[in-house]
Amino acid sequence: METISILIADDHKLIHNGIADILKSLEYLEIIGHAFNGQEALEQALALQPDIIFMDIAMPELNGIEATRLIRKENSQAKIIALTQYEENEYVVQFLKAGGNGYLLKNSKKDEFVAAIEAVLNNQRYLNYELSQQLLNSVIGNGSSPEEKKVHITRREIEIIKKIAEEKHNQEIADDLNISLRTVETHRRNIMQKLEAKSVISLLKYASQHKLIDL
Amino acid sequence: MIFLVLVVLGGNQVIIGLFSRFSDKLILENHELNALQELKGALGKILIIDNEYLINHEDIRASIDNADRKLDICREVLSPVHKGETWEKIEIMFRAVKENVNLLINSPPENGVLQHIISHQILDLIAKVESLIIETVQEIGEYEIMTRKVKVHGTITVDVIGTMLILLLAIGSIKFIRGLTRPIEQLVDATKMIEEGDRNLRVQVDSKDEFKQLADSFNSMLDALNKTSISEKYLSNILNNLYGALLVTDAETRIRSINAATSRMLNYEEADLIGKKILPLFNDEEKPVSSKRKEETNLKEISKRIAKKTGMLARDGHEIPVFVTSVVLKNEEGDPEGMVVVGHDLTEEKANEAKLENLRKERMIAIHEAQELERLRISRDLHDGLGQLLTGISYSVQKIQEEHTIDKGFVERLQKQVNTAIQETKSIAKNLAPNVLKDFGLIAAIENLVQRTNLLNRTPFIFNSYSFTERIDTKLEKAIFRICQEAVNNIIKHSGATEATIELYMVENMIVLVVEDDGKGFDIEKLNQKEETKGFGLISMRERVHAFDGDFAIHSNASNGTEIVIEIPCRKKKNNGDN
Repeated sequence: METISILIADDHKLIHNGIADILKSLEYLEIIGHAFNGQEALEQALALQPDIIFMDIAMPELNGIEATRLIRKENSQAKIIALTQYEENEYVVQFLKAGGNGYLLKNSKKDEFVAAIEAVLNNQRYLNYELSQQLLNSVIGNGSSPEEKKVHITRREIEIIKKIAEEKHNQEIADDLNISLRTVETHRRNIMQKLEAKSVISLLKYASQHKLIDL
Repeated sequence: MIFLVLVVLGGNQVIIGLFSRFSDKLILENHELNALQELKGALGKILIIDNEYLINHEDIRASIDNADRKLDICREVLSPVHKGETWEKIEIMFRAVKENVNLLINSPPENGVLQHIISHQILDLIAKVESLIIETVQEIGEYEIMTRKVKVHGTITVDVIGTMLILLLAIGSIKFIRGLTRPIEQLVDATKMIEEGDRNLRVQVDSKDEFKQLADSFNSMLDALNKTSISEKYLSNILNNLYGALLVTDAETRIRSINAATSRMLNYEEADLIGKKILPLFNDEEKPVSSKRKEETNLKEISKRIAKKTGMLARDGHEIPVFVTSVVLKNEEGDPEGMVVVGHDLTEEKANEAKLENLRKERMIAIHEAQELERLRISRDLHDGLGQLLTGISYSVQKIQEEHTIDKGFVERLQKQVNTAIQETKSIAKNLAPNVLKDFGLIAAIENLVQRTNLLNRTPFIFNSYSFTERIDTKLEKAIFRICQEAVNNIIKHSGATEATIELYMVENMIVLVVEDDGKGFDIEKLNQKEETKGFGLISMRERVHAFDGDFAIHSNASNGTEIVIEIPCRKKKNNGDN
């Protein structure tokens, strides 16, 4: 098996050592470079032409996502795998969009490293199970009915729509609900905006259709 | 003067002297004339008797005696001037006549020759007396001319001197009168000037008479007046230099006088306000009053009402913030006479207050920012320091697991513990300063917050945002995120709600955040009064909102849960690399 050259970019020496320890037993891997910030990562990526780059995201000078974007511009060959503590979807998405190939969390175990390396070398993207679930959930919603991204109307808003249907003025609504006039006005504006209603009539039409009120 | 009078008197004396001398002479001459003419008459009678031829000697003798007496009178009367040669001849001739008459009487009757001689002698006598008469008449004529001359000269002299005297008297009296009227005129002038306001004027009178006294007492009156006038001036000066507006009204609340500050403050001329009702200046109106009795209480009421006012209307209609003091003005009998109203202009104070408030807000933002920076620092230390360390340990544990054949269960537990420590560190770091907020903005950060919260807690949170696409000012992002965090914590800890929603809107450049739950709710008043610590979350929320000039509303009751509605004017993100 051909030797796979690896560049590690992380601002912590400890992580460099840790990764080296984990990958030590995999003899086909050779660590050829150590970068301690994004700028160094960019320079070494271009100079050393590694096969795989382990890229931390939170780094001084240039963060991992930006460094990835710049490396990808110059060098389409290197496979870049994020190795970070950031597990939020935004980072995952941004990193992959910037040209990253795989996303590993720092608490990953050796088999995950191996899986990720194998995947990216086969031109696949790699995400672990938890991250892929999290990403899916955020795209299609938490649970049961992914087909409808329904507008959510709060209890207070329903109360106010009912009062509007009773042809009450804002001040009367405020008095009835024991809230300030300004709050009523704000709610009304919010309702109109979230329903994209142009008039009270279209608002009440929507409310009637969705059984919020009886007309 | 006296000299003139003496001259006049002397002149008069001379004239009178001349007069009396000439008139004495005239009288004398007239007596002489008279005596001579009587003598001539007596002589003539003798001649008549002689011509008729004397019948009676007695008659002749009587006539002769008569003539003799007349002659005696003439002798006494005649001045020595006339007793000259002619007179002596008359005496001699008369003696001769007397002798001849005696002869005639003693002679036989009808002595014609003697009779004839006597007649001639008498005719001669008469001729002589005649010449004396002529002499006398001539002298009288001379004296009369002299007297007339003296009279003419005297009249002229007296007229001239008299006129001079009158002129002198006139001049003298004018001087005298002027001496009288000048001080009076000065006093009149002085009074006029005082009336016109010149109170430093003093009357100077040179004389030492009653006028001097009058002038002195006039001056001392002015001094006394000035003493009180100075305090009047002093008072009006104080009033006009008062920073506050001062208005005085009559009993009908019509403005009677104002000070300079009033016209300056309200931009009115004094004449614009005098006689106007005072209440409209305070944007208020007077209700009509029926009786006089009521008017008194009315005035008190209006005064109280004015004292409560906080603004006065300027000419252009804008309200000037004022601190008002108002008192009812009473006369000596204790009847209300009007009001004195003092308005202290608070424009500057209000501006300063606003400035101070802005400063406070800025400081509040700065404090929050400092807090955020500190959190960020701790978060980074945890994340990058402790977190990485733990990660390093984790890798080491893995290595031990692989290389050494020690108790696998123990190493696995160790691995788990280290992983838990890493998770905990991440969680703490995220709560302190969510990196997503900094890197991806408010929506991502709140979504993340809700996601994590829903994983760990029972109350499901729903988050939705509307028309919120742009990144906004990072300080504002942090503030809104902290408010959300606080609201989420409150709901989880206290509400027991079955559902909660977080909504974020961008409406007409206003950011609106609404957090609703259906939980237990609480009494906000009590919360704020009773336990400082519990209400602290709300207070800090409110402070954050106010620091960004936003509006914070919270409604809560036991049956209907709690809603927080926040509106903050949007601040766009500045490109100053705040990452």
